[in-house]
Amino acid sequence: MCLGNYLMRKAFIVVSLLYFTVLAIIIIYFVLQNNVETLLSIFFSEEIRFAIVLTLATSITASTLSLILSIPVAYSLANYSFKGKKAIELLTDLPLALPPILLSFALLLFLARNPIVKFLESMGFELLFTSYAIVIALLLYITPEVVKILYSAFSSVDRRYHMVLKTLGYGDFQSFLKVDLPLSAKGIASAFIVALARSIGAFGAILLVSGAIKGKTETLSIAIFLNWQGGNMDAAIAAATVLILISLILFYIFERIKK
Amino acid sequence: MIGIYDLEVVRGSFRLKISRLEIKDNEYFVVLGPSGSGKTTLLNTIAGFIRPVKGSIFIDGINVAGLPPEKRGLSYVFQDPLLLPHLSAFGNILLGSHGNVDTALKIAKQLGLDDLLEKYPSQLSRGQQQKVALARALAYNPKALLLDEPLSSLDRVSKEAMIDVLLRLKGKKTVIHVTHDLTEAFMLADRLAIICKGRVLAEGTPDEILHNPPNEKVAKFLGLTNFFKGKARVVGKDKSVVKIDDDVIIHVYGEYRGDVFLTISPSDIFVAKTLDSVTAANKFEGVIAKIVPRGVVDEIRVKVGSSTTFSVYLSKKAVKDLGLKVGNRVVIAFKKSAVIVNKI
Repeated sequence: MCLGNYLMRKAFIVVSLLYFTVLAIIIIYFVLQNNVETLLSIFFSEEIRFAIVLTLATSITASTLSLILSIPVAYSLANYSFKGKKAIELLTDLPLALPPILLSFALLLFLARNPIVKFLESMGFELLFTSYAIVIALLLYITPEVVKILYSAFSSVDRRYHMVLKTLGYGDFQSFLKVDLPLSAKGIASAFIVALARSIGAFGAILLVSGAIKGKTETLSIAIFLNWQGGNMDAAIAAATVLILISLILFYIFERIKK
Repeated sequence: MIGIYDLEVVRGSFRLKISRLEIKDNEYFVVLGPSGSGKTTLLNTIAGFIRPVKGSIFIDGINVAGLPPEKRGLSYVFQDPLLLPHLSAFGNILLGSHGNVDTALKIAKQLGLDDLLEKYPSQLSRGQQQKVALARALAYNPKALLLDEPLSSLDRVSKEAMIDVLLRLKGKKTVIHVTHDLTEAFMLADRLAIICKGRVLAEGTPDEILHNPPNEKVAKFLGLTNFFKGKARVVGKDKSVVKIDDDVIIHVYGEYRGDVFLTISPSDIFVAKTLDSVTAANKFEGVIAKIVPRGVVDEIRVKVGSSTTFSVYLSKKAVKDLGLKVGNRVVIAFKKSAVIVNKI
């Protein structure tokens, strides 16, 4: 092997190892900050339990809704040619480029000034600064990525399977059920896990619409923020540890699905 | 019956035009042509995947040109088996029978797939996969079966097994089989059409096409390399002679006058050492210009005169026994019955 190739290979490997070592040190250092007894008592505190339940409930709801919404969008983009397709592709990409806080701010203004929302409020249905607002914000935040993953999954299905099914007398919807859904199952599961992971850790995207209200719209990421702001570092660390645990579980599931 | 009338299909710069093509019930019809000739385009148009610019396609008396593929009652077997990977062989056949277990089992049994039903496509050989694909298509009980080069990706053994299965369909199911393989076509077809550059060049039974190719293109496509144009005149009852280049005179059966073209299969010409030893009506002295290996036979090109060359197929053993070499003087001969005459 020539010297130039050898040096390049070694240098690149060293950079990779350094990066992941630093990352691992930070996470291990953070976990070591926990005092197990204090951590356990905080885990079972009402505030953290509420945050866990709210985080999981809003994340699962938003991820499920996002999947339901994204399947037809991604399928259309992957299989059909239609007017406005380019515009939809651009619009799905746009939120990926926007800072999450901007999304939250735009949604806050939209909901605050929307006559339908005002009408609902007059009927006693609160939307802003509630878990519903969190679900809506999460839906907007995660859907572009879900569409991207599903688009890739649907695009990889050999279109000749559709031709085979058509010549066996099956229509488009039956073909979708018998071919696309099963053959894209891994992609759909991956999209759901990624959506869940993004939702569970979302902060900027939900901060403004949720109002970050303790005990009402306090998800785990908001609990970290509120407790850090109030100087309660143990509670902040406990909330963060729960987030790490959930993320690791999701990461494990994601890796299993990939295989 | 399937009838195709005044069909015109445009795909970019390619244009497929068929004025009339009819496939009878339970007929095994082969569409034969080289790559890019339009045979798959024709099949896809019949199936409903391509919309023709004009024309009609009748299936059992109904014009289906405007119907989507799923309403035409035809099933299709592609070059690749395209079995759904998440379903077992039986699951795939059940897809064809729309969940009818009895039909699926009956077809599987007919095609000898009983032992493979639990297996998934990844556990099957290519030949077995293609058989399952055929079973799936048959389980739908289609009005006609469309086959797009179903044997081209199979090894020799699988191909032979599949040909056995296809031969069993003859007379029982209307089949339109597209291929570029002459042997396959002539082995399977009740009737066939030769298609080239989007046009049907010939249509008929294998015997009709092989023994009476309607033009030079078809003759060349069929590998009939001895192809000559000439002027014919009648010399007696059912006897004519044709004068081709180099004043070579060829005796033929039939009464022909004027411009004709002649085709003589290289397998119908034999080689002798001397003129006296040959009794055939057509015999010429020539020089071996080239010997070309053609698999199990050799093609001997014998030049007669300054520009007339005959190709002769001889087994390698015969070439060796006769000691044939380039530059040797030999006699070639063929019977009058070996000459196919077409009027120009």
